[in-house]
Amino acid sequence: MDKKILESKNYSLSYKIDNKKKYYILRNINIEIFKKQKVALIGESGSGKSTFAYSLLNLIPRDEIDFCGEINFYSDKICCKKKFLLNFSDEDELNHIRGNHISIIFQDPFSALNPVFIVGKQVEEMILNHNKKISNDELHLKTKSLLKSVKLQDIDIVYKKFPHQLSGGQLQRICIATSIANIPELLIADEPTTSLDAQLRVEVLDLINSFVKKNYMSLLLITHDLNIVKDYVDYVYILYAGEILEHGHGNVLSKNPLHPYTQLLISAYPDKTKKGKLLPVIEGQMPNLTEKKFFTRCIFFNRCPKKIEKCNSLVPDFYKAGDSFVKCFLYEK
Amino acid sequence: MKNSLLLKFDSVSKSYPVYSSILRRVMSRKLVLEKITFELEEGKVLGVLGASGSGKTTIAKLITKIEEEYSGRIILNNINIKNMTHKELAKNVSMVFQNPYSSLNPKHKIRFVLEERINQYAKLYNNKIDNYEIKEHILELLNYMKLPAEILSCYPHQLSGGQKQRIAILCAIILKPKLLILDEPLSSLDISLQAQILNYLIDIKQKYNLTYIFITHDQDLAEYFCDNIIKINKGVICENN
Ligand SMILES: Nc1ncnc2c1ncn2[C@@H]1O[C@H](COP(=O)(O)OP(=O)(O)OP(=O)(O)O)[C@@H](O)[C@H]1O
Ligand SMILES: Nc1ncnc2c1ncn2[C@@H]1O[C@H](COP(=O)(O)OP(=O)(O)O)[C@@H](O)[C@H]1O
Ligand code: SF4
Ligand SMILES: [Mg+2]
Ligand SMILES: [Mg+2]
Repeated sequence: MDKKILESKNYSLSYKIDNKKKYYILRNINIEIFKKQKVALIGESGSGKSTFAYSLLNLIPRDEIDFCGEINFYSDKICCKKKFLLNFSDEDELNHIRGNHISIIFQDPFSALNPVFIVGKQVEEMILNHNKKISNDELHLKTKSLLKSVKLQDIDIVYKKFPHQLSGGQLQRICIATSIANIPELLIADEPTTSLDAQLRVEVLDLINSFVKKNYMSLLLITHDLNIVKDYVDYVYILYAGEILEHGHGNVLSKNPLHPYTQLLISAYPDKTKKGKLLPVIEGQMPNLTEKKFFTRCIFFNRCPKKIEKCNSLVPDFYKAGDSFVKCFLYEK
Repeated sequence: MKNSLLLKFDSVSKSYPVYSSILRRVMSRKLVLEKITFELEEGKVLGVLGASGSGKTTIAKLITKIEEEYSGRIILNNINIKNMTHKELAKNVSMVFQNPYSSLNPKHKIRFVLEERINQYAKLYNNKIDNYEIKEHILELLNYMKLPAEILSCYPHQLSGGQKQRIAILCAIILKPKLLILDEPLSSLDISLQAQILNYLIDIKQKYNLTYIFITHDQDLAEYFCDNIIKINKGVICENN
């Protein structure tokens, strides 16, 4: 088995709303990513996916959050083997890790780029960040080959454009180029395709996938759509209201979902066998995460069609079922 | 019983001019739809399936007369749409766009958005409509789509994605169209929301006797939702079933 590259251990995070209130958005998250592994974090809007990704890179202002537990990054390339990024106070060193060792592709490519610089310069900036000694000619060549590798056409024209002059698909390719410029050990992609036209999504996923493979990188792919990523990833975590509810191998999990929430999620996909029938809908809403009283029972309790008596008063553990792990009393041995 | 024919495309071709950015003039034309022919009966759902850039949205633009230059005939209710005014067309056809986030003006409250729609409606019928009746209709629709009336005093950014998309659909059906064109209406929404919106669409279709054109790239979704599907590849229908 390959070595671990990232692990979060009982990691919890809350946003401070005001003096009295907190929003407990992530609770006891345990996630492991191994070298060369592709992992998906699946969750619906508001489940806390981006919060996890941003906090992992220490991108959320410290005074807005409280956290406990750990997120460790193990690198072969930096001398210190174990890095808990959230405890970093040295901005320079943090910046070096971001982009060079871990990098991120954001949900919205437009806001990820600087609107007042041409995109070519922004890619060069990223390369320079890693290698200050590179000559101008080399820099130019490297930038061009990067832009080519993300399958952009008319590279010389695109190079000189400002972000607002390019389409969503082109921008997302530029973002991918900047995030892989220095071949990071771990690439995080936060909904890299939601802002794109439907068909482009597959192309962009293919592109990310081929880079990760070619350069032996690890990938954390964050999305709400299990269907579209199941063929790309090795392992899947299902996040709901700030908690992992199930994890297992991508194909196993999508074919044979075990947690009532995952089951509902998957049965909501339309296909011809369901023709003429209404699709199942998950009734009700996510609990209000400012109130701790919801954390003393199963977090899916209020919406679960299969709940049993104890679900209302106890919090389930993870139970092993087949090759998956499920946080639900139905799988208690 | 055979339903009556609502829409007919008769050998429709459409090309866009290709400009040279250096010479600033039309260099050539790019054919995006070639001899498209199909029929759509009242009360049915026609799926238009195809990859990005295959010309799906162009079909919608032709029916709504956003693009008016093409060859062939488009017949709606036995009338060639070339002979219909935009006003007449608007009474019959309405559209929901791809992105729920861009179809609502962020500066206006939902109430304003809907009132605008009512005014539009009033103009279509030369103000010979009962405002009261329309307001009732809106409340009924809100209620029906399980949207609370308080939503009227919200701005778009205060609504969830699913609520915004329901408002967009509501806007499109206030005008009681015969034909509703849906261009990838779900692709930016969570799966569980997609299911909800699909259920609404099935329901209101029966209730208001609508006919749909459903544009999508997703084969499973099209097979679930549509009665007939045409597959477009590079501007040509390559499959019709
Ligand atoms: N700075 C903040 N202060 C307070 N609450 C916040 C802050 N940032 C995010 N939240 C809240 O935390 C919750 C999770 O947000 P997050 O952006 O992680 O969701 P997500 O799973 O990425 O959703 P989406 O798919 O819509 O991007 C949301 O309810 C959001 O309103
Ligand atoms: N206004 C326009 N001018 C020039 N070309 C256009 C215009 N609108 C669309 N096209 C081109 O027509 C083709 C079909 O576009 P469209 O109908 O939007 O496809 P789809 O909806 O299937 O993605 C694409 O190659 C697109 O670039
Ligand atoms: S623990 Fe109980 S309430 Fe929670 S998902 Fe399982 S059955 Fe449903
Ligand atoms: Mg997000
Ligand atoms: Mg389109």
